Amino acid sequence: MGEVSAIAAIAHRDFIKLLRDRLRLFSELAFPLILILLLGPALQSGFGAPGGLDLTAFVFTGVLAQTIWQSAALGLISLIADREEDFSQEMFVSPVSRYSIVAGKIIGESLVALPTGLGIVVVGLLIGVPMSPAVIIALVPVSLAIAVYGGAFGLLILSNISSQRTVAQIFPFVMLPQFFLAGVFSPIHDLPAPLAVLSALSPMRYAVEVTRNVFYGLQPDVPAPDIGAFAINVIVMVVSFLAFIAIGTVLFVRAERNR
Amino acid sequence: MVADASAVRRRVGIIFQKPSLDRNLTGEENVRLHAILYGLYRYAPAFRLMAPAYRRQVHEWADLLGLGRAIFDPVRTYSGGMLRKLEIVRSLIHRPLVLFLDELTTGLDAPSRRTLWAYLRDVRGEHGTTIVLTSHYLEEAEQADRICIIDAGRIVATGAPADLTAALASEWLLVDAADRARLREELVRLDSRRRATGHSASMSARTMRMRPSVRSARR
Repeated sequence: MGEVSAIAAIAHRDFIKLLRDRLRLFSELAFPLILILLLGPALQSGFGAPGGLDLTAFVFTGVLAQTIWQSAALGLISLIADREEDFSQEMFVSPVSRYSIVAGKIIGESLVALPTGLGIVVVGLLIGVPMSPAVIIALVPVSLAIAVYGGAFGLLILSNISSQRTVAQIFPFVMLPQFFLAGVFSPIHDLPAPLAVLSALSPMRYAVEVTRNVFYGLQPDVPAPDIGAFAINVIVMVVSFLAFIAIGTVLFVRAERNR
Repeated sequence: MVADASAVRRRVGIIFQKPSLDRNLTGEENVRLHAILYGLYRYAPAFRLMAPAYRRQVHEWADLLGLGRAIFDPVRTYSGGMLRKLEIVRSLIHRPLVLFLDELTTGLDAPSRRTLWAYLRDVRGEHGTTIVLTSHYLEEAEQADRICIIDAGRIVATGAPADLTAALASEWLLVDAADRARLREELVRLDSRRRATGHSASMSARTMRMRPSVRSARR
């Protein structure tokens, strides 16, 4: 019971800080909105509807998954910020288990990522992306799962980084390639072999694919792109999530102890 | 100790050299997080939803710190001394048996140091908390029951302050005069009188260059 309370309190702290940081809320929403409002229709008018596929809806699902996943992943920067502000030592000397601290952080940053997702869904509805009530309801647990998955990846990547400036430097290498390999706005099921391998190794891909599995699966009348099987996507997500959490926590605790 | 790290952490408090408060939260939110992390109270999303016992204690701590309603203000509005006091109060919430203080008053002005130490003395007396302190201020070290002096990472002396002072320091008075023979007679006369009356101080006359001066030395 104590551990659950501790996890809730740690998650609550990150969420409260977001609510008090209006600028962050706005900036997290701006980039995905630009993508949906400008890129989707531009692709649609430029390339027509290849195979009847609505490119705006295609880009919408990709951007929704990418935004939530990436926001949660980068939200784990708060671990580094805590370390830089010397707050993390307060948490790590307490009797709470190291896994609970990490779980609280991931849940907190996942909650932080969700309002952005909500904003994107609202805009999607406004611009006419086909979304039945079943899809909207199903997107809630999917978004939570993607956020937690992104948070675990963020933990793995950020566990050994000591400054927030370093994160900005590695971003082009870790996040940007995944925009293209994960199929956020381009198809990935016909890539040349080397890119296909890299795509299969990109965690963001499975977040995007699962979102499309649900979006198109619950709306069979909407022309769907090529997507991998739902079961396989979920299995890969779960297995890689557990690996990220286990390795990431060990690395982070070790880095904290050696400070 | 390694076998049950969690139990050890529950009985120990630490205040680090650099303040470890979250400046974006209020004083009360910092205290609340600590209370929940140490398993004293269950989580609630707002102050008024926390247990009545917790809310009562927060008001007591606010009075103790002289903060009043300011305990609900963001911590970044507090002064350096107030931050340290809040940290001490926070670290004592879970009634630790041992409290580690790392350079607690470094960088604080003298009045803040005095108030902090007055508060810690009360804590020691009231709760019997063992305090382990690192400090560069001798006047802080002198208040301890036992001191370890560390030089280049090695312990070079350890003991009670009075014992260390007696072992490492001594007081002596050097007296000289133009007429040394007469000075010697006088000193011998005074010395024998002291031995007769049982005084503990001893005196000795030294032969040295003729310089009419009286010097006292304290090593």
